[in-house]
Amino acid sequence: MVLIILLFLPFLINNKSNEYPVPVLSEKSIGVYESNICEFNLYDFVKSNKGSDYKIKADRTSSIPCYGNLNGTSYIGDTFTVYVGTNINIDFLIQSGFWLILFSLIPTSSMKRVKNMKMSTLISILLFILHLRSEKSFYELNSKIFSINLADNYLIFTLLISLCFVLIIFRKLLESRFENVLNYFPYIFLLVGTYNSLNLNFFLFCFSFFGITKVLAIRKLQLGLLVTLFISAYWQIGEISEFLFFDVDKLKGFSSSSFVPNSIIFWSLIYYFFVVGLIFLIKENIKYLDLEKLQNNFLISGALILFFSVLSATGAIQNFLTYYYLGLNKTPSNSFISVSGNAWRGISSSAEGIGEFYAFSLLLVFCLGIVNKKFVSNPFLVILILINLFGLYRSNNFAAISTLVILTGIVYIQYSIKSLKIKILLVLSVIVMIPFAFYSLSTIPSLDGLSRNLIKESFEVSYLDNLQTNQFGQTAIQESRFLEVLQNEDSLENISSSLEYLVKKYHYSERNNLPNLTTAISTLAYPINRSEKWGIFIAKYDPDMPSFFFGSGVNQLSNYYLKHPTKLNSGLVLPHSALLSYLVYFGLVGVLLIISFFIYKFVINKSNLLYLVFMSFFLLNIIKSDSLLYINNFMMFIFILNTDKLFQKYNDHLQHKEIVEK
Amino acid sequence: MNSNIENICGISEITPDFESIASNPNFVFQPDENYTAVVLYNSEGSIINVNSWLECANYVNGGWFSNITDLINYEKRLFYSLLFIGVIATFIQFSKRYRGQKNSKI
Repeated sequence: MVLIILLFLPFLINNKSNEYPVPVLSEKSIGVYESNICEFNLYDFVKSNKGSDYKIKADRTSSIPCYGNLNGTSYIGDTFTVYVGTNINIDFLIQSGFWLILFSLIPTSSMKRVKNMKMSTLISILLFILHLRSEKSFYELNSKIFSINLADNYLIFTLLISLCFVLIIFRKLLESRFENVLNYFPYIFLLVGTYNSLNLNFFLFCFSFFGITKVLAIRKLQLGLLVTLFISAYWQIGEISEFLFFDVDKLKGFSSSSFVPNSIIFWSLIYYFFVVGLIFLIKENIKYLDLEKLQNNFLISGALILFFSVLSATGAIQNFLTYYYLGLNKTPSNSFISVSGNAWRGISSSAEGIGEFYAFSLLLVFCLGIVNKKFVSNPFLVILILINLFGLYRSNNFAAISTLVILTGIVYIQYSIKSLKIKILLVLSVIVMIPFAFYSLSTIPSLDGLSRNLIKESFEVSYLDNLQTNQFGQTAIQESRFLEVLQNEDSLENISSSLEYLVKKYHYSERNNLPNLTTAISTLAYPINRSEKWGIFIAKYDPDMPSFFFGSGVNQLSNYYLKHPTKLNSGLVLPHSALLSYLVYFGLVGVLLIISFFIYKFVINKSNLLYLVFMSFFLLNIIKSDSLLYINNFMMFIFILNTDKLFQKYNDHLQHKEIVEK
Repeated sequence: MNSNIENICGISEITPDFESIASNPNFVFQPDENYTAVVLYNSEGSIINVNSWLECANYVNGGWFSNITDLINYEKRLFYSLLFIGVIATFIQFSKRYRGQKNSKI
């Protein structure tokens, strides 16, 4: 009941429109709305415009008295857009309150005390101030009165006191639900928790807070904190360029909107505390995890995501409320039409990300069914599986679908087929089938064409408009004479260092029947449909040697995105590979260390098939997707990464059961 | 014309020439007996009563407003409200703990 009241109350109260009737929205009445700013509240507007066609957007710069009221209307291209006032302070209170109420719905368990509360709250507040100061331009766009001067700054004081409340309540709720939290982990895809007018996420701050309590208690983690501070200091010193504003768009809440020393240190610290908090929450909780409950929650969450995606596409008010209360990074799709004719993202900011979620949910259900030899008989679960399958189909994530099929097949072969010969035969036939499938699904050009593809795509977005043409009007790029472009000094300035390196590699590598680096990347990119996206990445990625080796900071994409101008500098075009994103963040050394860690995890868990399958699913998918840049996908990845002991125990339990049965 | 003028001062057939009013230091606004006086405020907190439509329009054009709420620092109010709730909650928490300790001693 409280939830329903909270859903609508902010947009019901604050009614000044009693004096004036709310007119039906039309070209004639738009003037009435324009001259009565902040007079009509959203509820009255919706009531008067039941049959009208319009969009609702949040006006984030609104003052407190205008919260929930109409702050403007526009009529562009046959579409009416209504702007509803939202305010940074009220958003923080209402959204946090709503999410804390939802968090309190997790059933209680035995009490687990969270220590170092006061110190952790103080550190969180200091981090919050650092964040507000470092992303000044973002907040100036989201509040007319935002200032970083703390004297009499009640906007910031209110945010800080609200944060204190949120952390105190979160701690209380977490302490009394500690053992049950992990079972409800899949709901992070439904409740994303990104604030409307802050570049922050509810889960990011809450779990970082938990991470801080752990760092204060454990000496090894304090050493880790020192290393984090040292690396962030290196990033700060290393970078000369500063960017005060970068449009984070769909990455809101988990990516920096500026590239200044303070933002580098903030995101380094919050990332460290967040990861520590998550890992400890998982490690201390894993023994209480109920796999059956988890699998059901994955399916229910998937079904609810689809339900809200459909609901938000049916009307403007549903669309706005879904965006606001689920804390979405961007407004949901307002129609059922797929983007570019293929993928439908629904309420998710990324079709790729939600596709991975659906595919993983199904993989978990199928694998547990195969391992337990107990297939779903409950009709409710069958319906949920079908809904999740439909969600996966609409997300059109081919990589997720194919990895789901292949990995389920592997688990089936391992657990259900006893004959070793048949197992080998099946695995071999799948391996042989993959290249054939690629050939049948796409027209693969010659090896030379494959090698050049990536470079051509990169040159396409580089500023190279004044190239000389031959008698047929073709440029050196069209004729694949790439080296010639590099020899032109004017062009060289507009070519990124990574593109220059790859062109040189392509031309000067020894012809020893081994593919050079450029050919290897280009050949890999083509069948997975990444030639264009990775080509754009190479055209934009212009690091100097230190930032190539050590990166330019956690969650810092602005330096990569804005430092080297290309034809694609507006709109957010992401690298479309976690490997490339993390190359920007941590550099080659960081990426190699992360890969080594994964190899280590694989080696020590070589007999733990379920864990290997789940990890392989993520690793194969993130090579070609940006999902790790979204907080919910990132959290799920960290979750699966730390479930090795759970699945090992599960495996041992099954083997023991089998022996007993025999 | 400024849409606020109509909202605050009402509708009139007069076409005001604000520039000539502003440039004439001896201009005197004649009170209109039929006009209901309107109270206006400015951002510094000053208050004025206007007795004619033209006077009202002139002040509104200069940035005065009729709604006292525009003067309130809502962030400040919200902050003190939250602080008050926090103090009350802390007091309740302490008194609960104190009572618990007292009961356990008994």
